[in-house]
Amino acid sequence: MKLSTEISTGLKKFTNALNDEQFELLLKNLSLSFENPSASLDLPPNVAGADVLKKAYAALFTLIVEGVRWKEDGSIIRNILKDCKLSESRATDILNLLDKQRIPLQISLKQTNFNFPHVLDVTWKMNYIVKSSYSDIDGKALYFIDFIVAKQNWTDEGCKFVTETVNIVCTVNHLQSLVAALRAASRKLIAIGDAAK
Amino acid sequence: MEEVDKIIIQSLQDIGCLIQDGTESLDCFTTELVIEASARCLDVIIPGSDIPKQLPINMAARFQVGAKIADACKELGYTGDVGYQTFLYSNVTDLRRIFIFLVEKLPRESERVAEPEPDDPLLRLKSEVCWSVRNSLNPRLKLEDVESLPFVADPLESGIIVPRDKLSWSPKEWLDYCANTLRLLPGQTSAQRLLPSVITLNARGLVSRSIRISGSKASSPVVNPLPLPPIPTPRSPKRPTTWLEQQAQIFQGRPPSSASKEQIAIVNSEVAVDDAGREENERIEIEELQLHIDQLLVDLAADSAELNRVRYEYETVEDDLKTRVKEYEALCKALELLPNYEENLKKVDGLISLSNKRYESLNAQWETYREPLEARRDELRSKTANLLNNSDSRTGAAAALKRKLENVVKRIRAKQQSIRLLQEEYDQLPKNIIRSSYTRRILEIIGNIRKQRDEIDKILRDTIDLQRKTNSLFGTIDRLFTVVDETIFRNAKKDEHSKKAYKHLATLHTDCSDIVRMVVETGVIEREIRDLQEQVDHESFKQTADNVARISADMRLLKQENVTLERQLKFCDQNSSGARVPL
Repeated sequence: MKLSTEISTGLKKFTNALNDEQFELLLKNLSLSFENPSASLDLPPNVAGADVLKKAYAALFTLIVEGVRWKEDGSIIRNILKDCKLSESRATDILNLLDKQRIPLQISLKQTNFNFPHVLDVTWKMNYIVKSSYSDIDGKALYFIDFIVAKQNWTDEGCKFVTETVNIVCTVNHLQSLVAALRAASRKLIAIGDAAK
Repeated sequence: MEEVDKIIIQSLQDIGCLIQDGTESLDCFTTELVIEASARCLDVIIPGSDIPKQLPINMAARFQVGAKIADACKELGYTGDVGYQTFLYSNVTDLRRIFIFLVEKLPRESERVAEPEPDDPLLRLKSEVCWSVRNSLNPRLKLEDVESLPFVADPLESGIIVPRDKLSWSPKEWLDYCANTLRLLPGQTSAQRLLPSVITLNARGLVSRSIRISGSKASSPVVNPLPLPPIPTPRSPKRPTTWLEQQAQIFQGRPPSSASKEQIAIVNSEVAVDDAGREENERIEIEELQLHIDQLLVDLAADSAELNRVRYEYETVEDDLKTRVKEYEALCKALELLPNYEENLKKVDGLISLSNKRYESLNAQWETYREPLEARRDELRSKTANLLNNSDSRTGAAAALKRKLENVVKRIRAKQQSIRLLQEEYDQLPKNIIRSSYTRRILEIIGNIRKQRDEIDKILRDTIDLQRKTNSLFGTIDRLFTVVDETIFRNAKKDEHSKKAYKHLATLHTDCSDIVRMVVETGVIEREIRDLQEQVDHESFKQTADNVARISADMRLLKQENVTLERQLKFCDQNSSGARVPL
């Protein structure tokens, strides 16, 4: 795990500058924002040292997210905090928070990826091309296949699944090779699964 | 049913339930034992089902455990009526049904034995992968399982460094902005984009550092707060062809693009330099220098290591110098003696001859001492060698004995261990279970069932025969009655006796009909009585009274818990109203 100079500086300068009360408030805020990320959090008005608190918050938030992302164990995080001149008790508090939020954060990080559509249904028809402007498919059968796929659509109200249609057109040979490849893949998976019996 | 109970109890004991040896029926099962047995069965059927095997003290938790077990049974495909009450306030019939279902679902011994336990980590990993693939192939894909968030990041401001577009601000303005306007990280973006944005924030900093480091090697270590991308030259809009352009399109609809931001920042900074002058420049310089403290610390560590190396070299050179100074002093003395070299040479010769004579006399003296000492030394050496040989052989023998002893002890321990394991296995083995006896019993039961079925068939046939006879008799009676009725009615007009006989016949017919009706009703009532009796037996079998008593006791406990919780809640409210920290 590598931290940028910005985050390291934040940990060194601002987390150490907090008094115990502010540090406790910071940890409470962090815990709340990890537990309910959609809640709009902010510091109470007229709190002393709000700017320092915000900077320390950003640094600690990033440290915890990166720590969970790189699956670092407690000793490495403790060393980083030690390098940033944090006291032993504060490091322990931060590590406790990290351990508490590790699994929910790991689940959230696991869900953050590239969003592939999932096939729900398929409709198809086969057309025989008597004549066309493309001479290479004249007198051949063509498959028109519509994959109905579900895609996630994130809105302010949350995740909604919307269906889309993906159309492909292929010759019988193409379709045969596609089906053979898919069958081989599924057979391979089943064989791997059967090896566990 | 006893046989079924025995088989169930045996199966439960096999999977590790602690059931006392004398237990022969499910009647004796306590609630705790029912929960433990069900949980163990489910744990074997669905590994990692995470159902507690101990009944908790808290009533609400008890209900939860009961409901969890009931849900698991339903998921396994149990079609009967099942709920938390089946386990907490059990009756024998329902329990028997549930346990028969669970015992049937238990994996067979052969399947369990077939699971390999590889020692090799690679094989273990392979088997884990296989299990994972197999498990993921079995269930149907649900939409909830494929939930994923696109990795889209928003630019975040940590407040730790001054972004380029705010470089022109005075320190006071920046502090005011941080204290009042700047929001916490989750407030700067949506919940779905928070994690990608935070990851990007750190990555952006890392990239800027690497750019700085590579730049500082070639040039002076001047640091920018953020990496300065090249200023884009104005160009006509065209279709995005590169990855970066596509990414830029993703961010369409956002406030001003990065390129325009940079331009604004640069223009602003130039204007600010003109306006604010030297003080502004110094502030920016201080910010930059603070950001480079880390780099300087690293350099300092490297320099101190270099210093140590140089100090070591200095010490070696100093030692060398001292020896050379000594040589130089000796040469100086020789030079002083050079002018009167003949006299000095004679003196030196005299001294050399004196020292030679002294050496010879001392040598002769030494020879007189040396010979007996050497003889003694040789003698002692030979003695020591003998002793060493003896001690070596003894040490070798002792070591061999020790090894032998260790081997024997190890073998004894291994044998004791295997004896203990075998004893445990022997203790766990059912003493009175013989497969042939089971087979014999099953065959006997099947024979009995066959006999009973034959008898039932026979009774059914007899009943049908009787029914047929009764029906034919009823028909005959009806016909006879009609014939007799007609005959007597015909004669009744002429004969007085016939008239009387006709009246008697009518009375007889009505009475007989009444008797038949009453017999039929009696039969129906008897059947109802039998049904009711069966229901009474069934209900009494369910131990309703016991269950009612248990439910009352649990209700009392729940009430007590509620009172305690209310009291705690009040106490907490009082405390929190006293010292509440607003967030």
